[in-house]
Amino acid sequence: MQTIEDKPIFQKKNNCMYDAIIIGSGAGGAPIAHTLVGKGKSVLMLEKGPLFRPQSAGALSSFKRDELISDGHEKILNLPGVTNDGQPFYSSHIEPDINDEPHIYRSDTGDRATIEGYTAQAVGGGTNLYGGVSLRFTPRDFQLHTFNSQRNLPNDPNGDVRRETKDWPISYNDLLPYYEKTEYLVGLNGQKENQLKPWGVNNYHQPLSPNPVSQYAFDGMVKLGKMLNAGNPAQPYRTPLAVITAEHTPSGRKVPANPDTLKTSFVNRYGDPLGAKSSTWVSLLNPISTQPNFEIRPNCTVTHLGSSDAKVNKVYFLDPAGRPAETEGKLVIVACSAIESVRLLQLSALLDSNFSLRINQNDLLGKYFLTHAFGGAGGLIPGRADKSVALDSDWATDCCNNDDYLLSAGLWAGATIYNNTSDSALPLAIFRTMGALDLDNLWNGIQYDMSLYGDEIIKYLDKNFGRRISISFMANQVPQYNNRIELHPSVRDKWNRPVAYINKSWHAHDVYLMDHLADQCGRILELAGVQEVGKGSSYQSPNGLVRIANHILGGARFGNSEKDSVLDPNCRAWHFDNLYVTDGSWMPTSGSGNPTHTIEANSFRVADHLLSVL
Amino acid sequence: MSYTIVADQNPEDILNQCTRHLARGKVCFRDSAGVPQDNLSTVCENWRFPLIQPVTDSNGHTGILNEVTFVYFTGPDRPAGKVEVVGCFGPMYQPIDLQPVLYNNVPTGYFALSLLLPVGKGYYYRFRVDGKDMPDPINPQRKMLENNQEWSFFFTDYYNYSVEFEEWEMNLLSRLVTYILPFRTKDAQNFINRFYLTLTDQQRQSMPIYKLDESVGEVNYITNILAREERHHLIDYKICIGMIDRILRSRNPYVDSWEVSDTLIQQLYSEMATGKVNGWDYTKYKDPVFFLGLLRRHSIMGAFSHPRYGGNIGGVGWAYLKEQYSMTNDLGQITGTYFNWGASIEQPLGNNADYRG
Repeated sequence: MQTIEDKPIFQKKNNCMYDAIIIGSGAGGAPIAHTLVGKGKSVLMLEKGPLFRPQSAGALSSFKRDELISDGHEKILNLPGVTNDGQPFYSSHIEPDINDEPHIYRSDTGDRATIEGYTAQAVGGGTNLYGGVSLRFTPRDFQLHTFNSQRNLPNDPNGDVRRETKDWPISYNDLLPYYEKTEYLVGLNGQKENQLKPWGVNNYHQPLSPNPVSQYAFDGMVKLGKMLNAGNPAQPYRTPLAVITAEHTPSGRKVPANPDTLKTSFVNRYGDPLGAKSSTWVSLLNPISTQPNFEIRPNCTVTHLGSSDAKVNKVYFLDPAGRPAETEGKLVIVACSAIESVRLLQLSALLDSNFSLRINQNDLLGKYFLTHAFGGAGGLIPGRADKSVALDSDWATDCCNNDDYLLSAGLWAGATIYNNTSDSALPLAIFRTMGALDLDNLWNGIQYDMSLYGDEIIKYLDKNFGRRISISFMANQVPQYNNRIELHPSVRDKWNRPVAYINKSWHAHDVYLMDHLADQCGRILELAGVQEVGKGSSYQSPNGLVRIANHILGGARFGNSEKDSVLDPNCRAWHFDNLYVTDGSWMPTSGSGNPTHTIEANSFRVADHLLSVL
Repeated sequence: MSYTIVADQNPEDILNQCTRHLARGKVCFRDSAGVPQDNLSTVCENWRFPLIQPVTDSNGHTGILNEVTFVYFTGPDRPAGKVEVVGCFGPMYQPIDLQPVLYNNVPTGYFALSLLLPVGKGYYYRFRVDGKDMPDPINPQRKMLENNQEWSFFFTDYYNYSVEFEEWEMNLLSRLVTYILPFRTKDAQNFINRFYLTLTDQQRQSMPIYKLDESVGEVNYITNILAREERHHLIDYKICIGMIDRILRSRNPYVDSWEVSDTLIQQLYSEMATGKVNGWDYTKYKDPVFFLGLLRRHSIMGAFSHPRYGGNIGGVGWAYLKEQYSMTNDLGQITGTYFNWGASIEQPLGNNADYRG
């Protein structure tokens, strides 16, 4: 095991202990920095990746409208011992190089190295690359144990759902003001009407006009809503997206004179050179970046934490040159995304017996790792639309996200269904996604379908260009103890630290649920008169456990009892006074929508608690 | 040639571009290897060095100049005293100092220098570290020059030459790529010719044009990425293009390989697609299907990626799609398009007023 013995060079500002050190600048960390700095607390934020800003009067942005900046050129994995050694992979310019910091997934055929899509290493983390879909969870998502406590579910003969699912220690109403706060401060556009969630203040910006292709999604959603509940049909609503469409006062951001020009389809998996997509940098951190009590240090990799009794008293990191450094804070907030946060805690436990004793007070650290049950259906619309003029999603529906429906369908939890507007919208995307089931087999379709050349390429484009539409569902995954994050016994990162080792499988009820919801997505297309060309779910992808697992959650779940959780209701590690974990790893269940909005809202909630203890 | 030194180099920008690639564990970078070549394999995406980024000119447009940043990293524990770069961009190969990059007011071991250089050019350079000359230990592009010295090489955006391929290789590559892409029909060729005629002078200035009558520049793209981003496939091309040349010459010994009939090209394509090519030396390269797949992917990427990579000259591939998928009224008149690519792309290439590239 690597040890760090060199004399640290890092000097604390004014030689004082920071009120808080936040590790990670994405959805879990930035709301806390924003809140604490606003209240005069001193905050040091350490971020492994670079700080890429939107363009300014004096400089261009490193984020580009350039299809090769994301999943463009081929890279080759050089990692002996894993099954995909020597195989190609594709990633964005701010996703980690898998050769440097792989995540290793165990499978039936051996260990496979990859990285989850959207795991960006840059200030703002995954919020640089996300499509921006920012759904609230439903009240039921917080109480899935209670909802299922008396139910016998299909494909769950052992009652795993009843046994393993935990209610959250907080309710929807606890989070409601923080959802509102997030919507205001981060900057979202959307429509509250027709969302099946209690609502207070409406802080949404006005959505931009939908892309014409989305009319089919709308029509199909309306019809499916009527089919499922004729008396009280769920109606579609404009998908909440983290893109501002008007001047955003809290962050001082402006939009082009014609906001419609923001619709470029360079949204999902692209950083925004104009800063209209609400990454945590542009929305929460940049506004505080000049405050004297805030210090952000990009390009600094935290290697481990040190402790004394119930205090985390050292944060050890490597500066941009790779030199060891250390610092101290009254509070330490870990928010590196679920897998890397768990790994950091496990690495710290390896090096510090006191830390190990306290963080491993039960055996749950790393357990109940979650992603989303995800899938959908794709089709070809009868006409054509200019899909290059789009954000990421236009319409969503909660027609499969209400109690009556779940009870009648035998599903343990609900899902939001929405259409993807910008998929296959741009010329390279339409080729590289041909036949691809996840991010690890991009380009394979066009590369090896030898019949496509010359005029046949024109026919392929004639059939597909501006005609593709997809409907996706985002659903809870059944928590399983054996779905877990550990340290790999032999594979090391570029700093010679053990990398994360992930075991993950789908529960039989997950498969039942995904098949069911994929059918409903297909039905939306059918009802809209769209020719379906494919339908499926992540469990069916050969690599579906891995690269497509782009919402990484759980592994350090919070709860009311230290016996069955890693964190307390305020996301504090049970046997530490000052250690908090606020990325998605605290989630006991993964929710019926994309998780970023809920992670941010929870971090605002935790930040208020931190103010009370500082 | 001429250059401008970028004054007030921002250390944050340098570190933002370098750290992910160059900061390594003690066991990884330089400590484990005594010779520079060995270090190359431990640097993530070494082809990114020197760093080459678009910048705007006095008109606010990209496509004329690049900011090229040379980086030398001694490692954090062994700061060098003086690091210079000498190259063909400077008069008489005068050395120019790289400046130490500070972090928290402490030297990092990174030295950097940013120059503004024209697009579309290639440059040789070497580092001089404490008086000792050496090629760039990171950048994999190197050439042995006539004086028997090894020099590092880089090229700026829109580059349309190749130091890796000879003309006959480029000609053959062009013929194969043209067969794969959808631009060989008469209508498509007419469109391409019309497109180039309609380029404004301003657009032409930023788009060096190579063999416009034959291609949309995808060969430029392919040779560029084989020098940098996908250098690991350079060997595939060198072996296979040589082999294809030999096979085509054997099938028609009376013309150059890139001038054989369409029938012979079609025959070769079909054989490669099945993996059974008459005359293929499987001891030298075992899988023609793999190479054909590679060529197919690269051809598509070259035709439709941003022109700065060397293909899709002036956006011709995008413009082709724009016209191919145009909206028409009942009279057949064009009323719009299903691919208004220029709306999101920077000027002068596109016409977005806010995004600057």
